[in-house]
Amino acid sequence: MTKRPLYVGIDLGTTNSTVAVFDGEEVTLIRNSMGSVLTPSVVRIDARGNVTVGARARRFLDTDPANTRSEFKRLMGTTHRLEFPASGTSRQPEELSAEVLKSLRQDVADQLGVAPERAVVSVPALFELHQTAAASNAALRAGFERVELIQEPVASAIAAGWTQGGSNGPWLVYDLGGGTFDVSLLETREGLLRVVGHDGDNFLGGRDFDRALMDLALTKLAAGGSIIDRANPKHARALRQLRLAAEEAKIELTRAGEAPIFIANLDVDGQVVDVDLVMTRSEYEAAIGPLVDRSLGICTRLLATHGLGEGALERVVLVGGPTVTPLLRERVRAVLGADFGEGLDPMTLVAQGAALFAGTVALDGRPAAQAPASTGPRVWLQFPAMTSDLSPYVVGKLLEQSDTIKQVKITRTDGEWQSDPTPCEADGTFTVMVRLLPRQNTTFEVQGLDGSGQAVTLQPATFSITHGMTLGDPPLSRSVGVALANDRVQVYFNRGSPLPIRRVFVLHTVETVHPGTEGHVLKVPIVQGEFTWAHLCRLVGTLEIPSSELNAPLPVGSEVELMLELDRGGQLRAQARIPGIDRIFDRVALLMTPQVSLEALADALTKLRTRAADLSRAAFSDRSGKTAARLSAAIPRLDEAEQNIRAAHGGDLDACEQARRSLSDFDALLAEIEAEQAWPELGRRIEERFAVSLSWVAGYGNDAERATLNDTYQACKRAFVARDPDEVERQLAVIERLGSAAYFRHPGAWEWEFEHYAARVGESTDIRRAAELVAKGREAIRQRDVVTVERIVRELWTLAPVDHDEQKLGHGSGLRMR
Amino acid sequence: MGAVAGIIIAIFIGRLLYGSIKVPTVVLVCAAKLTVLGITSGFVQATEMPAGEFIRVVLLVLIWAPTTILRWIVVPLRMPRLAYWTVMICWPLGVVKELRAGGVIFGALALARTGASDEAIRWLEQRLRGAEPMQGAAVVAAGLLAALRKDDDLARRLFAVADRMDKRLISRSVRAIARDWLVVDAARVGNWQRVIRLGRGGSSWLRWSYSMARIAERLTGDPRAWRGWQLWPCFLLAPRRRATYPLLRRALAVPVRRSAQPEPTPSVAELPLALGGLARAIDGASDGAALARAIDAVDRQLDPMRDAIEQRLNALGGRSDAGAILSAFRQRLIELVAPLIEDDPYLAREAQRSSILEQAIWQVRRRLFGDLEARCKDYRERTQDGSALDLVDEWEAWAMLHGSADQLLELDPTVESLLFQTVFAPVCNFAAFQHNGRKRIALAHDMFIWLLRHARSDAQARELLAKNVQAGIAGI
Amino acid sequence: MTRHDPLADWRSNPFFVLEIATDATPTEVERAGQRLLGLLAIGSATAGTYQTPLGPATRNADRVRQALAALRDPEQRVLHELWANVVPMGGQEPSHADTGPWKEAEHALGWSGLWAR
Repeated sequence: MTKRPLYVGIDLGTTNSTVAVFDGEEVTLIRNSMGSVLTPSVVRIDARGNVTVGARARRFLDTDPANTRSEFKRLMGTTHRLEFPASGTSRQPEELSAEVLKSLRQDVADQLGVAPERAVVSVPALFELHQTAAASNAALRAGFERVELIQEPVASAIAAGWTQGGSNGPWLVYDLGGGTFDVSLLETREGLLRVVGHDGDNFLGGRDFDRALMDLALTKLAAGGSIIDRANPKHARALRQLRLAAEEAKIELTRAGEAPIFIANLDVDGQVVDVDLVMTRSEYEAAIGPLVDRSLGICTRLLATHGLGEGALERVVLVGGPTVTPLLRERVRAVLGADFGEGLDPMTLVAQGAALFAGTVALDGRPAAQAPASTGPRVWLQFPAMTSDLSPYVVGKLLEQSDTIKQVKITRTDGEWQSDPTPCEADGTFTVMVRLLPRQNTTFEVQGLDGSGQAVTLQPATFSITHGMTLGDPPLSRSVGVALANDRVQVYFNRGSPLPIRRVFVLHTVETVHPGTEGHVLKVPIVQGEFTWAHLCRLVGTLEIPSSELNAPLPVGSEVELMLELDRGGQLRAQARIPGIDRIFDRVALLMTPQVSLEALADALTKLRTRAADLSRAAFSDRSGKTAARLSAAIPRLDEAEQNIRAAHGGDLDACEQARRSLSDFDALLAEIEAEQAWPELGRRIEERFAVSLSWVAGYGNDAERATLNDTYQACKRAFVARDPDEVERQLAVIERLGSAAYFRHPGAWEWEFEHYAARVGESTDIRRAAELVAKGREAIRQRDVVTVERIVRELWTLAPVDHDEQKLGHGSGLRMR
Repeated sequence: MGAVAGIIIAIFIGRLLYGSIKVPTVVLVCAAKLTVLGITSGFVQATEMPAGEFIRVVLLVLIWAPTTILRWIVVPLRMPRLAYWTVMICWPLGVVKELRAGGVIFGALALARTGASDEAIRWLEQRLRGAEPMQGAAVVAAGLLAALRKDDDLARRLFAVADRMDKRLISRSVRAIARDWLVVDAARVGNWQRVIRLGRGGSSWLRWSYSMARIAERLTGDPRAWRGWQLWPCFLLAPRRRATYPLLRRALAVPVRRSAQPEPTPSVAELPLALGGLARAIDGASDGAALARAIDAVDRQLDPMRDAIEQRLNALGGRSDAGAILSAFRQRLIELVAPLIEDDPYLAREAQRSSILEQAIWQVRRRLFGDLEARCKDYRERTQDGSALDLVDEWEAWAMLHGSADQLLELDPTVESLLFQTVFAPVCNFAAFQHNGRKRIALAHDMFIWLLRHARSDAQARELLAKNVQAGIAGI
Repeated sequence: MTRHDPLADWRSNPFFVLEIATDATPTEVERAGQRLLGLLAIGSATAGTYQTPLGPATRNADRVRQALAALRDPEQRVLHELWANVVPMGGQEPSHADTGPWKEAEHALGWSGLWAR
């Protein structure tokens, strides 16, 4: 086996993981030491610090849950640390994933005699940058020298395409795993596989089906008088046992109409309870129905985004254990209106596809020394390891004896084809079009020809190309950009851009930074997401330019050349070059999602409910039915978040992450609605301000000001019609200034202004000083000293509170576009 | 005699130091130079030195014609330090009020032929930062240093500030350096309209730029263009005749036409040809009318292609409609054109505005206002904090704001009122802070003058600014 | 007065980068891209530059990959086809003007070191 290439693909799943290898011709699933192709993603660390992975660890989930961890994939990229009290250690989710990958790597070594050094690892399509970076790091920790990532639906698509052969048209991969749901719309055309679009939910999976069944069981137990509360940490053990039983019952219900849940002597916080329930399939289906509908909603949204209606799909490929659920299969077929791809194992498809992808990118897992050696002048060959093209190019360069070898010839080892002798360029390069055998691996010999036509053996003497699919570079699943100070995003990489990718933009600073200013940092926040507003996008990292590292002042508007680069492994690199001071900064901080306290989550939930209620009221009074409907459809998400927060109190970290995500998404929805509502509000503001200014300018302004006010009002209205908020604000500021200038010509204006600020002394930035000024001001009013009153009011203005909110919204960005 | 003259001059200087006599700097310098020459001549005569005549001639030249020595000998030697110290010792009248800045100017010119190492630029920058006072020569010096650092944009803005500066702050010869650079900057890319505006529209009449403007008129076929018998004297009276001669020959080859002939509109029936015309117009990018026509020609070809686009989409398996493609195409067109307009706003000014051009203009306007607002915000904050940058940096910051404002006004003169209202308070307050708090009279004065020039719509502001300008004049 | 090359983006049209016709089949597109990526990987002297109707331009592996990705998407491909089909008009200057740049300007004045390239 090791004489053939070793392309390794790993499906790192929430519940189970699998490894497959592709040798250029066929894909083989690797069995673990228990003889199974599925290795549970469970890690146990005992008191002696021994690490156990897989089925052996899974046995302890019930008896030693404190030292046995599962389903940590959804926590990748966070700063959570999972405790193992027996050994007195704690591990990050990334480290636990590394243990699983190490185990899988060992399985390959045990079965094939070689521990692979390179592999492709699958990740959910909607994993964010910090999560993909964590996956890469986990693989490197596991001993792989190089790793590439592939999105799970793409991997499934490759495997499905490889198995099903070439058929053109759009098709869907419906991947419902243990913890995540991914749906991808793909298209095959002339052997080229293209990912058209992605969608999904990082917090929807088989685990949620288990939980739904468990909640049903809890309801039944409660009806029988036994209360087990998810929010109570003391019931955690009982809940775990119940969940395991529910999982088994779930599997049973795919075959049978009912399944028992029986647990004798269940210890519920000191009380012994016998659990003896019968769950029927109809009850189960009623419980998971909303979850299935949620997944189908995501599918139809994806299809609608890409202009596909009912019946447009060629087929649907189901991936993941939970897709064997009969209700799910029935609903998917009914809603999407396409047949399922047959003969595909939903549990191992992703691993198979990952291995095939390793083949397309020539990521041979064999250690370098194992590559077969040959003698002769060295040649550097470039060719696709796998392609749908039957006549691809092979490009090469002679690294030695390029002056004696004049031509190159390539011969297929079956003898049925050979190229004409192809002359080499002056720099030793050559290009030859070869002919492949359809749907198999083709091996070629390459030879040099000297001036007299004598053959010269080259090193390497042979190479292979597999005819199959052509896959483009894996696409980026979410747009990546830089947050600007005005809370907009400068998009660097659009969703769908091929990886690896690199771009440079020139941005400008929004404030002057003096060198050595204590604690002053120019921030360059890097965000991911599709929102226009930066504060709604997910912050994935911040490049910091501390003022202590500046050697000269950085005036406002200074150019910053900012480069962002993403490799296939999802690793982000950022570099800021400031030409004005000729310095480069490349320290990127804050790549993990910070842990959020439950109190903060609860607080955020309350605030969101209030905002939603306000918006609903406004929508009703404005008779905005569409807005009201959107809000009421989204409110259940808040209820779900509330339930998750309660579960998080009981120690469920996954529920904590899910709550955070739900609240963040709801916040984004509210911001979108608020932005839509703000526009008519702006129109009203224009009219109000103009009316006020007009009344002052009419009485106390001159002709030029009256003319300017009128022109400005017209320009403001034009900007409003053109939907240009910046221009509207600008013109509004002029309207206000004109009104203000006229207002202050009124004899009583300064006194009124004084009274206005005197009433708000408590809000001043320096209350003592403000109070002093107020006292002086009263005296000046008594003496009818308008000049002094004006002077005092101007000073009171400087003490008014400043609004820093806008810059906070842009993640504190210190940059803008030119 | 020399001794008597020396005594008289010493008394004169004494009374001057006590402030009882006010004399222009140039006169003082001339008097000082005469004194040195007188004393040296006396010394040479008295000691009967063998090379006395030679020394007297050298001194005469160094004292009275240092600029000639600098331009013809020192600068071509490409020795910036020598150039700097020559200025410091010989006091050329053109830069006598700002000797250090003047030294930096000639030092930079010494490096202008081949460019400069970072070390040489740093040396000159250090000289400039210590200069006092900093007026027009310092701005031009900063511009030359920016140009040596390859920061063309900053250089352009600094020279633009210098070109329009109050004549009290900048000498004619220094202004000429700024304007000449701007003229070359425009001519090297073929922006002859800008050359004409610089040469004929500037606040001072300068020979070379005027001559270049006349040549540019002939090159562009302007109806005002001079005939050969008019161009020749203008050319001969201007400096740099050898460098400009080939350009004159080019211009003379273009026949004079007295009426503006309309450009024949090419009958473009297809998109590929229209795109070719657009590429040509963009590459030339100095004729706004031609650019507008080219954009329009492309735009007109798009809607008739709807069906063909639809068919092509179907053939390739696309799911959008042709409308989305056309919309994306127009957006790309706007993005192609917007940077051209931002670099030379006059391109859009005289053109017939189609919807594409209008949107591109709006995009540029939005960006320029954003830039101005950010800079005004910085001024506001620094006025409040009382923090100021190094004076060279302050001039650069002012030049950047000034430049963006000028671009806006070039793009759309009707925006003057809005522009003024946006920048007046922060700039005026900042200038007052610089004047009162930091005694940077020249900088503040330039800001007040610029604001006053654009305060047409606000009588109250005009009054305030006029007072501030007078205060600045008194302080210079 | 332009600081940047206004036609640079246009010259990066995927059809120009891959040096293929606008009616190339998907297989031809992939083949051209794969060949160029190979040539660029081995450091071929000629692969780094290419000719366009708007003048020469340079490319690297990143640009080739971006071009391939763009042409795989039907909507983007149609858009790029429209931009790629450009017929450069004859370079005839109208006889009543000569508005070409003065290329020797900075050199003639001895100021070659004062502009960025």
